[in-house]
Amino acid sequence: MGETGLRPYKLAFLLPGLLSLLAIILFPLIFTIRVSTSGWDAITPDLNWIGGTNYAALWIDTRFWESLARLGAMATGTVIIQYVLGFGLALLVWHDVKARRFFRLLFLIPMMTTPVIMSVIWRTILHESLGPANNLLQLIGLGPYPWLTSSGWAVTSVMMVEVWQWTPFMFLLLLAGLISLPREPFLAAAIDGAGPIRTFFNVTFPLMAPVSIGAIMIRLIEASKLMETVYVLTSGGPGTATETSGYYIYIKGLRDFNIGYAASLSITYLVIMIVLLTVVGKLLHRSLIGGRN
Amino acid sequence: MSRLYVFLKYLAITLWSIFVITPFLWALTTSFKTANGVTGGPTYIPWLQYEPSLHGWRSLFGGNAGGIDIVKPYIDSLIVTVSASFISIILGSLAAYGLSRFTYRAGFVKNADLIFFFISQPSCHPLSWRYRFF
Repeated sequence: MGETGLRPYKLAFLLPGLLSLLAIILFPLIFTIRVSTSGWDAITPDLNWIGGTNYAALWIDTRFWESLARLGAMATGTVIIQYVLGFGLALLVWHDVKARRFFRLLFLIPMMTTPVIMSVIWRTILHESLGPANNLLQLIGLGPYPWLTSSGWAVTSVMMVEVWQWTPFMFLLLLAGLISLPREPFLAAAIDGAGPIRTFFNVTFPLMAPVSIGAIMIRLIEASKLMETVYVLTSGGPGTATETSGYYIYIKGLRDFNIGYAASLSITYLVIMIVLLTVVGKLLHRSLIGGRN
Repeated sequence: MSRLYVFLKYLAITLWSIFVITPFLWALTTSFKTANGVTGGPTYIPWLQYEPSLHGWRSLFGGNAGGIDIVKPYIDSLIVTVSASFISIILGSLAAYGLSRFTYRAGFVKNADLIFFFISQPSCHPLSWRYRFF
């Protein structure tokens, strides 16, 4: 790869991208860290210095830790459901299906829509008296269900909309992985007389492990930002039943205008997420690829 | 392949297709309702259950007083998207080419660290960066 060091022609390739990223990313990060040590709120909007007071306050802020636990449960739940459904759908339209191009495209459509707008449509669908969800379910003798007004159902609704919106993403990555698999292991399995279930667990699933880890990690990162669906569907309610970290930070920062406190929440959230996702990534890698590589 | 297996396969595909398509159909049928039609309970089939109206669609193209013209915002987002993609493709492909072709070393920072820095950006919470606008 040539000599090491920093020659001008090499820097010409790297620096435009690196510097603009640094300007866009690093400056706000440092600024947010600085804001998080200030008492910036609606009454005193300035960068004074109050040290770690915000961090001490968030340590005993049970609402924040509850929202974080809730976010963890909802993100993990939706990603697992999305993975299972996405993998199932990808296997279904992988081969031997009529009109598979049509179905592949159809399954991808939710991903291409704007989350906020689809959440609005889902809110009208799940409306208790005016929406079709309860109306249609009553035709077959079920319901009516309090989709958005009881805490358990509200969590279910948010998760359902998330699954609707983002299973296609899982589907896309896993289908791309399936299509690019080599044919030989499947031929060998067929010659050895393995049935479809055996072939899946001993050939398809192990071969798909790297793609699976990538897809799950990307979705976990995205799902941990869960916010606009909650904002539109339930506004975190009823009570705080569907309040995720992102939404709580939004309330603290942009509704109560405790900018300093919200910044400290953001930084804490960021650190926790980086640590957690790194650990999850390592664990996934070890359990799915583990000894074979 | 047994008949049952094929049946279950197409059943699963059909069920998921219905789940995927329902919100769009609901949005489509709602788009032809007036305000009274929306608040009068769930209805599905035009002419049969409610009287369809083009009021909503006319508002989109500035036909009604108080409506918005959708063409201008659409062109705006097109400009933003195309120019943002254009800039990021230039910056990104330059950096990607450089990182794959050459070896960089500045102190403890090496190629792998730079690559990680580039690809780790989407994982940051958008809200974390929003406070700088205040």
